[in-house]
Amino acid sequence: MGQTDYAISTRDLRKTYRGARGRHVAVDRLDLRVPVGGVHGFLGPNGSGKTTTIRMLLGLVRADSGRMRIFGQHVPEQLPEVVGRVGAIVESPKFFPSFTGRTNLDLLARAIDAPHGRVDEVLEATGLRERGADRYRGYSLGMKQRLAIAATLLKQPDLLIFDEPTNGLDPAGIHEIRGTMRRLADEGRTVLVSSHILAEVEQVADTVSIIGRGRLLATGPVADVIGDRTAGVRVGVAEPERARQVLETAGLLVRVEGQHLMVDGERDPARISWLLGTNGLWVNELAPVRVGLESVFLELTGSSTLGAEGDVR
Amino acid sequence: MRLLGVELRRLAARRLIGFVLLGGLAAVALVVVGAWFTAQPPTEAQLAEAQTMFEQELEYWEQEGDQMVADCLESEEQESERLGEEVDFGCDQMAPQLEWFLPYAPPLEEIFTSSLASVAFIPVLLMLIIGVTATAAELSTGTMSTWLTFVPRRTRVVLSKIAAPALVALPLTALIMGVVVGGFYGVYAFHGTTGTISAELWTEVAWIAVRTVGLGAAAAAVGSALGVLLRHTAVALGLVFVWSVVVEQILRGTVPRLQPYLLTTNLLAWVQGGTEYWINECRDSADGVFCEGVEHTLSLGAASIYLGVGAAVILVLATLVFRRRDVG
Repeated sequence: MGQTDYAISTRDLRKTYRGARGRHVAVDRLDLRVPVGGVHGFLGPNGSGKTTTIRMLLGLVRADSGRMRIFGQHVPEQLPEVVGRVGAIVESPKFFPSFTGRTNLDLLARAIDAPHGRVDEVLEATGLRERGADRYRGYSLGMKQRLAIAATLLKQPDLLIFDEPTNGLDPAGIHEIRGTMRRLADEGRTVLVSSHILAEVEQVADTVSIIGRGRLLATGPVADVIGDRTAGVRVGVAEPERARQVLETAGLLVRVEGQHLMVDGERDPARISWLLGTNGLWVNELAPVRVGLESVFLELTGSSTLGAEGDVR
Repeated sequence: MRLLGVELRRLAARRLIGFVLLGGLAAVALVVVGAWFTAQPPTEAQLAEAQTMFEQELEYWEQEGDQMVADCLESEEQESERLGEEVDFGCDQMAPQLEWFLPYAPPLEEIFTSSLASVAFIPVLLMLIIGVTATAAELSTGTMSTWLTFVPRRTRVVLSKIAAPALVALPLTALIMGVVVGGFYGVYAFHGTTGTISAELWTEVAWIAVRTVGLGAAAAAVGSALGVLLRHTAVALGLVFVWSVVVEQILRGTVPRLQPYLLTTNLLAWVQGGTEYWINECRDSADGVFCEGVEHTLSLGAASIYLGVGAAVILVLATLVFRRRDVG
């Protein structure tokens, strides 16, 4: 793939913060590639360098070294040329609290010379038309997030960057944001969504990159990277003890968890169902148990620590 | 220019600007109310009391005046001999006068310029606050990062954020100074105690107002730059307060020769069109060490250079820092 096939690409990207306790490597030689189109999940535990990477891409933080491109343009040098194609929400939405939602959007729209009426369009698109005249400080977290999305849409961007967009949202809000991201991708835009929650990304992303301690650990289609990482199968059955014997006889690793059995390492529920059924045991629950992000990290890094790299003095 | 226009809109939408303007107008209204009392001519009661005290003093003078003048002349002669030069004790002006016993109410012509210069620091300080909050609030709340994801050209952004408060400060300072000048003249004219306000004095008053308006704009710009540098309103304003009120006052008292290099002295010289300061200079004499206060002048030109260079340094520093700094 050429550089223009990627919405975002970085090479050897590095950022070190200096503080009272010494240097701290936030991003370490990161090679990130986000293909054009679809939703790309940017996964990593808290402190792994996701937000710092996004901030560097947006010119908010200076990289120590390395190269970054957005739609083939070098950033931050050529960011002014490409910023019109990029909408971003970094961490929590940040607007002037004493201004109304509409005033906040109006100021941003004027700054980029957005067409007249664009503010109304994005308020309508995000369901904030009725609340546009309310002060931002009175908005709920979900409304603040929707206003932030409305702001990103002012530019009619080709690339949207959402940094932990569902933090603090209730289930309805999470569902709504997830739907919005999917819809934007289906419209032909590229969506980069960062998260520390595996399930969240898994449900919406087409491709994914996983970073830990500022380094890229894995990247590719979701199915390839995390799709088959099943921890096991949870089995509900009327006679758990006899079922355990049947499964162990078949060579499976079985643990008893209360009234259920946990078959570790088995990724095929059908085989378990067949084994039990042929022995006259009828299952009342058969649920694949997915691994958590922590497990994926542990597997990818072979390390017992998940957070950012420690201080470097 | 588009960014400047947006910043002006943003400032216009801020309620703080209205509060600051109202606060400024309230402060100068209090000053004008104070002037109302000082501008009043003596009342009938004050005149009657002064007349009584004058007559009592005159009666005493008629009895003892000749002796008092003689004693005065003798002392004057002794002092002249001691110093080896003529001294004047004012012995010929000892006869009591009625105005000695009247409350002193100088006419406006005597106090117009000095009063304006002292009030000028109210709008200048308020404009500084407007400037500081304009940028510090944005940086401390993180809204600057949202802004930069829309407008990443940092030099343009910071210049627009410095220029907008300066432009807003022009009409606000002019309005406040207009109220001060009009208020002073109005209350003294009402009481008939303006004295003779010559065209020359009006010109001087106008220049003080114009220079104050310029200083207000500069204060707003410098305040914005300080907000960029220090990122917190309280820190920036605290620094200004500690420097101008604490550090400079200590320096003024302990190292008087630094006076021409103090910010407050130069601000006063700018507003007044020049100012005087005194330095105690001592020399050895036959009677020991002889010290006297020597008057020096700080010109408008010198103050202009001092303030101009200082403001330029802060503005350039803020621009350079903002261009490179990580924004949270």
